[in-house]
Amino acid sequence: MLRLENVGYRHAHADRPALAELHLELAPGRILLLTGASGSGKSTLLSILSGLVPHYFKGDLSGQVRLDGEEPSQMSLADWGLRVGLMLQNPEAQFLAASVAEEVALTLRCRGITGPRASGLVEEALDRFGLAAIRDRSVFQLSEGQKQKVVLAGLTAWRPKLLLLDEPTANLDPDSIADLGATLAALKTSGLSLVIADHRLSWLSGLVDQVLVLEEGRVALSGDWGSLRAEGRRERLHLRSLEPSPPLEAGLDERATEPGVALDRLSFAWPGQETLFHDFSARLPYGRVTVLTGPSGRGKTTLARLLAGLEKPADGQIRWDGETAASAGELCQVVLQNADHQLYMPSLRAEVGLTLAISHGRRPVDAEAVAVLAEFGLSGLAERHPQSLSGGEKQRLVVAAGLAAPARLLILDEPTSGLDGHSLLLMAGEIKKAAQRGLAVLVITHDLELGRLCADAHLRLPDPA
Amino acid sequence: MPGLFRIDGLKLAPETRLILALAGSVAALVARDFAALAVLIAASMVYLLLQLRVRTALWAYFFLSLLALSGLAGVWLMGFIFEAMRGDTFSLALLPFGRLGLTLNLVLPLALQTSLTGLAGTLNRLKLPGLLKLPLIVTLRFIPTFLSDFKQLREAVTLRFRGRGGLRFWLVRPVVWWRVIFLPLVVRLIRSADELAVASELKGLSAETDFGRAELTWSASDRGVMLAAVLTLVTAALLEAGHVAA
Repeated sequence: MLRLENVGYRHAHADRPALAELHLELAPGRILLLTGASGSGKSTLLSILSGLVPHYFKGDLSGQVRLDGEEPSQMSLADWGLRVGLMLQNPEAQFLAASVAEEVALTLRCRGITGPRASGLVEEALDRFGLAAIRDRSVFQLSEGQKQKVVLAGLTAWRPKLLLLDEPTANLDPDSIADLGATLAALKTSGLSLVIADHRLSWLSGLVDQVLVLEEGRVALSGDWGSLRAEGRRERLHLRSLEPSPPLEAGLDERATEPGVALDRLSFAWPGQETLFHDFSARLPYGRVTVLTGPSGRGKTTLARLLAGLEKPADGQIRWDGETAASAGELCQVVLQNADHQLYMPSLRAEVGLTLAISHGRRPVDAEAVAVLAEFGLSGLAERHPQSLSGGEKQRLVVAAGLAAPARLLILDEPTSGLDGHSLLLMAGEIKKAAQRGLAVLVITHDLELGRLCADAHLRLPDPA
Repeated sequence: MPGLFRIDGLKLAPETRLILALAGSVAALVARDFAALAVLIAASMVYLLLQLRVRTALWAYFFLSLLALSGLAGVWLMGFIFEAMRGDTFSLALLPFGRLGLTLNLVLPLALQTSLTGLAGTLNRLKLPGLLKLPLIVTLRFIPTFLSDFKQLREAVTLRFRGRGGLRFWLVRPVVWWRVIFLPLVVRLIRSADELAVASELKGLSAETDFGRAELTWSASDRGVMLAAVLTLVTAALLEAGHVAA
């Protein structure tokens, strides 16, 4: 039994507590959904439960955390890790070994489990997660869903009592999410307790037993799945939809005559790999939002790279208003999933100013940069450091900075990964506004909830043959 | 997207890569003759390209060149203050640059192509103390992370600024380079190091971790590479001896 009594935590050098007055009980074989707006304290709570607080992060922890009467502060992190496993949002960050089987075995070795016993547990874990066929494959060559399975296989190989998952669906396609749901249901049946921190909720219907919603570090709601359905509660707590989004309909052909960016019989394959596109044609009309979906590894990001001119097609052409372009970089802006990589300057004003300076070849007037920020509702934050913004604000800033220079096509790669319900609505609004400016907008996403909110057209890459 | 550094090239035992990296490092410390160093660099370059992508090697050398140029600029500037440091700065920098290149050629395959548990098992068999073993393992694990971080940042910069500004804009504004390339890279590396530390802590990796003792499994490739390495070292030693005698 996991029991938290009056738990609070303040990060080192922080003025306000990240968590306060938290009480929780979770019985074996039950699943707790931990959710809430970005910055509400979910990751902090996972750090406490995993033992990273107090062993790694040295803030001010109060109250009691107990698992079957044992406290993380009274044993080493390695020993606590035998009882509690944590899967990070980016599973790749957890890999220390090169191959699938080696990674699972290493997790056991680090817990002091070696020899024939370890070999048996490794084989059992690989079989349980369907990884035996790819046991020798490099962990860095797996899909996101497979990477998660490798981490789960390692974490559950020595049968801990509690498993923590941080945003497990942030990078998964709908099929992989369904697969993960089935895996977690099986683990639950085996008596394992789970805490799942996630913004995407619909996949958890029928899986979770308890719900804990945090708001500014305090419990805003504690109950069961049904308690989320109360009138207006989901919107007030900035939560995402509880119902699964139906598949998007195709809708490109009817606008085939509109001006836009045309992909004309493209063919492409990565060196030494199977053909990704063969005679592939599509159209991205100006003033429209086209949502691109498809299974992981089917070439969605590769298509964006072709459009941005980072890769050259083996055959076929990309036509901008009927003409091929010498430099696609001048016509296309791409917003990456991790916006951190695209923000460089010490303030929002300077960030937009950099694009203006490069485009116009002169130092921009401050008012020009502030005017661009105002268009995206960011003028009030003009002097803030970009890295201090929330995830949604960072995405909007990258769009604003990108569109400060002339462009005809805007590509957004998984723009709602890790965003709460409120930020999702804001992002959908920004995407529509970009299309209203006359741009062709291509949104690459697994998030059908976003697709429902903003798609004018849907382009789905086919499943592999 | 296939963005990996390795190729399906030469398969070698961890011992071979480890011994070559250690022998190369010692040779890099001892070598003073340009011809001897050139022989070692040429042979180690072949060894590198048999195991890694050419593009990976080029990027590694790009970083090495930046490092060397920074050192060169530092020596040149210090020459204005200290008279003893004035002179042929290019020749002064060539030897350390060559030594770094030799080490790089031998350490990169060890870091990018060797399995961590295989290497740890080998280190166990060599009875290396845990306090030396653990930093070595974590450092080698960090190298592919560093290359991956750099690749992501390079692509992010390309996507945002490609085809804009023109070469002149970038050449006359070193501050923009600083903000766009170097600062994000440093921040990203600090973050990656932190993530790796958290992952190691969560896994329970410590100096006491028992990695077992890997069996020595040398193939014909290992024997061939070792023979070539010995011949190269003998040739370099003869050239070095000639240099000392002269």
